[in-house]
Amino acid sequence: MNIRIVERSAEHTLVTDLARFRKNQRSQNVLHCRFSRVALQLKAQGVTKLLTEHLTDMQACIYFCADGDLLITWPGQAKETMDSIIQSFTRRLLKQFEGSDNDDLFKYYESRAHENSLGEVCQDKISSLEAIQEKNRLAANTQCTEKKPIPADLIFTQDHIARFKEVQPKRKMRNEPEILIVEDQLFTRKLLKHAFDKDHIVHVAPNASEALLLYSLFAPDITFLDIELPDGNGHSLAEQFTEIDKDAFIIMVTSNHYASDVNRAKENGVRGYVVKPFTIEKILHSLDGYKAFKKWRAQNVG
Amino acid sequence: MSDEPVDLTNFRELTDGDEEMERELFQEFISSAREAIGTLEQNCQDGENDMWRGAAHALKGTSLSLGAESLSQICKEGQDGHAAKAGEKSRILAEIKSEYERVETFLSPYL
Repeated sequence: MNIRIVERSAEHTLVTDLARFRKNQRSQNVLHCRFSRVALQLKAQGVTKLLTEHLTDMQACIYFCADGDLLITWPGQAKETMDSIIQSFTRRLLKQFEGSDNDDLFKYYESRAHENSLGEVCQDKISSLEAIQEKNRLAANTQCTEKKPIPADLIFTQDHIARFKEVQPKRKMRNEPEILIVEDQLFTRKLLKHAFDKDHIVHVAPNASEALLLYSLFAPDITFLDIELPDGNGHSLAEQFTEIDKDAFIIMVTSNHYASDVNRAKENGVRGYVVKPFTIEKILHSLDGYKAFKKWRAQNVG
Repeated sequence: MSDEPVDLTNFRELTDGDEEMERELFQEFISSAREAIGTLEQNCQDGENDMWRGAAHALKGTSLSLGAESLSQICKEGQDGHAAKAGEKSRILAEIKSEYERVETFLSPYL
């Protein structure tokens, strides 16, 4: 069995992998499933188990996207074999979700492998993912100069808040804190992610809008938050996070060292402030700070 | 301060000796640095300029994370001088490019 499961930053990994497939002219099948958020949160592990039972003979990759989409890619196979697998998988999946409160439970699209290119399935999703990546890449090179407030469409919606409240209780079951890194520069984002990846689950967001989404989906225990973001302002994000999440542990990160930033961070209730460059000492200090905060909360709040 | 344009001590602690990751990050640094310098070149004009400031800020941050302190300091000067005249910006840009070349030369054996 050779199945790769991508749960973190799945969209970014997916687009990178697809570009590699195209470049190497490898034919791939793609199965695209769309779940409601409820189904995804409840059944993620069950879906993985189902898939691994069905895909034992091929090199598949399963991407759990942050928006609830599930994509599976595998090398070109005999049409008949894939058809029977997909039908069987579909029957079992529908049966498992039967009764769930979800009008749009399960859509799937199937591609047929083409010799030198991917199938037509999921082109909308792939195109939108690539467009987001390109937009982020351009935005990273044209950063705003002033601290802009977050536009109205980049604030926590009721949907975000509802998702967050569903996930929040899971924090108690975590052995190690889950971390969210909000940083627009890819270099720094990758470096930080690598530093934490060995011992923690790490989510990364290159901008404010993705940060809002990932915060609501995963309720991170610790958030490293850059101040200058291409589509918003880290201070405004921190304000929102601490407003909906009394256990928020936010550490502002910047390469500037302005008193105004420090003061505003304090007003927003952030727990720490790190001036780049990151060092192991600063990271360990942040983790120690989190543990102390968690202990204090447990003793004083319950 | 050492004569070397880059001090990889902190960087290597964070990558934990993962050479493949380091190579990938060095390539990413070079790619983003070249883009930032390109943006600076295109925005080397009189007066306040968001694009100039943004590019200088971005390169400052990544240089700091890499350990290229001299480059980051020159970029800070560029960021703080985002409203300067074209002549001053040209001077800063020339220094950025010169120091960046040292950094890229330093990194090239690791690529």
